[in-house]
Amino acid sequence: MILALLLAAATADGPPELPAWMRSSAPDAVEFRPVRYQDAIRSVPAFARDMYATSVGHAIAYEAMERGQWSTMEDRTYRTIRAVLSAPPRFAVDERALSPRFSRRQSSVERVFEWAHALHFRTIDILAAPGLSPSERRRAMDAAWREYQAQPFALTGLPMSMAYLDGFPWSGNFRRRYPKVNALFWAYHWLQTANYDMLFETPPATHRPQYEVLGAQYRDAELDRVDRDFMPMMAEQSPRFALAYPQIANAFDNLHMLHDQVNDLYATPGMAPAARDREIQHAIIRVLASSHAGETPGEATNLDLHDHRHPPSTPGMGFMKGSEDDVMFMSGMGWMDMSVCAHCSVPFEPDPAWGATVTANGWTMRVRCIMCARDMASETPGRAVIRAATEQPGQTLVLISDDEGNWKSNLPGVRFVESGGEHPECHAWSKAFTTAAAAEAWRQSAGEDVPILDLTAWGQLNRGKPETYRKINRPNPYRDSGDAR
Amino acid sequence: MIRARMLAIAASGLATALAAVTTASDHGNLDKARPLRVEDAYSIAFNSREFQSGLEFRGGRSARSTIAFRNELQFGYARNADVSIGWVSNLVDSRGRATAGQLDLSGFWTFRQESVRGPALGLRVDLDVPLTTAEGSSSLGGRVRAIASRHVGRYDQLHLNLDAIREAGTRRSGSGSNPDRWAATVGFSTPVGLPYRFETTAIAEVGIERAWRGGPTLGLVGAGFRRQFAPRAVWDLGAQWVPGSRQTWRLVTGVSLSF
Repeated sequence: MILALLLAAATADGPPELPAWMRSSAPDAVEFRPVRYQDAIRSVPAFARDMYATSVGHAIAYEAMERGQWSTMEDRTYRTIRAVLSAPPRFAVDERALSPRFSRRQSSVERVFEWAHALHFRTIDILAAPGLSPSERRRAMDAAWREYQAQPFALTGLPMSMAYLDGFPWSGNFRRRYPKVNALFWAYHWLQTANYDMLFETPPATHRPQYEVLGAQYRDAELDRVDRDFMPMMAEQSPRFALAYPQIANAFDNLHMLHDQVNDLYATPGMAPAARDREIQHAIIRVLASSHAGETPGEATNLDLHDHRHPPSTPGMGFMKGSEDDVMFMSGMGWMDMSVCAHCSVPFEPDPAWGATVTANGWTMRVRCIMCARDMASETPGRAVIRAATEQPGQTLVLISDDEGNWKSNLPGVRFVESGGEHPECHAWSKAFTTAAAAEAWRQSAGEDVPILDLTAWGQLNRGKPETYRKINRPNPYRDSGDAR
Repeated sequence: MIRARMLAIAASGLATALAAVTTASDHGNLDKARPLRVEDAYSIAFNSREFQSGLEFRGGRSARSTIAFRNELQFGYARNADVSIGWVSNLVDSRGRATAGQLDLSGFWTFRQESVRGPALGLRVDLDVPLTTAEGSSSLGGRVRAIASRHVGRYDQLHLNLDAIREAGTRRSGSGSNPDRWAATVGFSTPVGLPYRFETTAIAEVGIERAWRGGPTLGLVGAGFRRQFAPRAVWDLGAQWVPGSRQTWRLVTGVSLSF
């Protein structure tokens, strides 16, 4: 009887059965199959180096955690990482070389991290590669996802409930106790999420100038940002990419959440190493693809581990704390409805009239039309990037503003029409065209007597906040004070 | 004539290697002969392909200097395992001739990575096939190498290599007449400049080698480095001193390219 009780106590909260690869002590180093566009990320050198440096930042912090260097985490470790980030490496860095003790102890999570980081680099290479047609890019992305999923330490591409994954007793310990280093982690994850819309269906020639804006935001703001309530999500930072590749977006969110969980477990005072390691194993298993085989996005067999619901308009993101359907809380933006234009609150038109996105001040939002994009950008101090549809489905307009709001275009002959109708139809009367001839052809076919504007004239317009805009006022679900931001 | 052809092959091999630089060799992953004898217990990654090319100069007061040109293709065919095929040609052998040298076929397996319980463990099996019919050069050779690697400082690693060797023919004429020998090598590697610089690994080794049937014990001391100079390319340079051998010094340099 006593023996039975002891056995029951020992196994009641013991680890679930470990997958074979987690029981193995082999290193399992894996690379994606070689492709001709390997290292295309280097076409944007500053971006490549910043991405390489994120590996160093992760590894230095994890080694310090494993060595128990908590008293110096926020000064010496932080300063060391910042020094590396300011002089990033020229080439990709082997994280295990920088965090040997962490790697010895946490080999399973290291394998998960490395393989998912490899997926980051592979998908970025595909998007950055010059000379690939849209269909080739799509096939390459699908192949990369299949190749990623073929390894047993692949993360699930299902949306996971972030409210559940961040709701454990130890959740949030790291961000509360070590906010500066946590800000670095979240900045890396910002960079690893924000870049996708920079690259997605945008001309390669625009990637460098776009990264001037994103890179400055990363170095000058995100690395120091300690007021973020939650980690950056793929669908927040790259909404178009997350719509196109929801499984990949979900896998990266699940990766970044696993990073947060490992950090939180290490930062939990009084937790014995063995108990911590067991919890880390649990955390890995929770987000493995193999743990969710046969499950379906949008469905929930329960409201915790197997809750794969997502905002109806956003399949590339699991439910967040306080989410209701498409309404979710975004750090710095407040409550947003993902199914409507961030500027005019009018529901989106279906693709291919995809509208535009605006990137400014660390956020990227979808809007219905190029006018909404311009006016939303003008509300935000600093530089902005607009990516917008034109009359040619494969030709994305990329506009980049300076600090004074003057726009530069990747299309020298870009023209606009903006006749000023009602906002619910703004996508029909606010348009961008690749050339004056294309704009004139549209005007004639539409029978519209509206002026055709060049970039300078169009850039000087500002119609302000539309009457249709509806702000959602609710308390911040991440703060007890109920602060609305 | 043959030497000129071999030199041309060597030159073209190196040119090919350098041309492929666009396409990551990991400077921290020590491979056999790149540039020292010692290697670590880790195979190359699954799916990775690597081309290695280099020159080896040997000499000494009591022996003629030799130059060998070594090329090798490695393929990570599975997790924790790779295979390779290499060609070691003699641009100048101990008789001053250019000879085709030998083919090296090799398999490598990593059984475990370093953990809190112990070192990383690996095994290499080599088969050497002579390509010349010169006297004494026709017998197959081979090597079985057991490897252990573990960290000894924050970033530094020690590597123990234990070899059982049968030399193919008499290609390495300075290594003694008895082809069956054992060797033990202890290597030390350290990434230079961590955590601020990430491109160079320095390596040192000491080793001994002796025939199974007795005879003199040869000592070996070596030092070198591996330096990444492109996203997927590593340059290596190493020097070895083998005091008891007829060829008392060796100088090795080459490149490793992932593609």
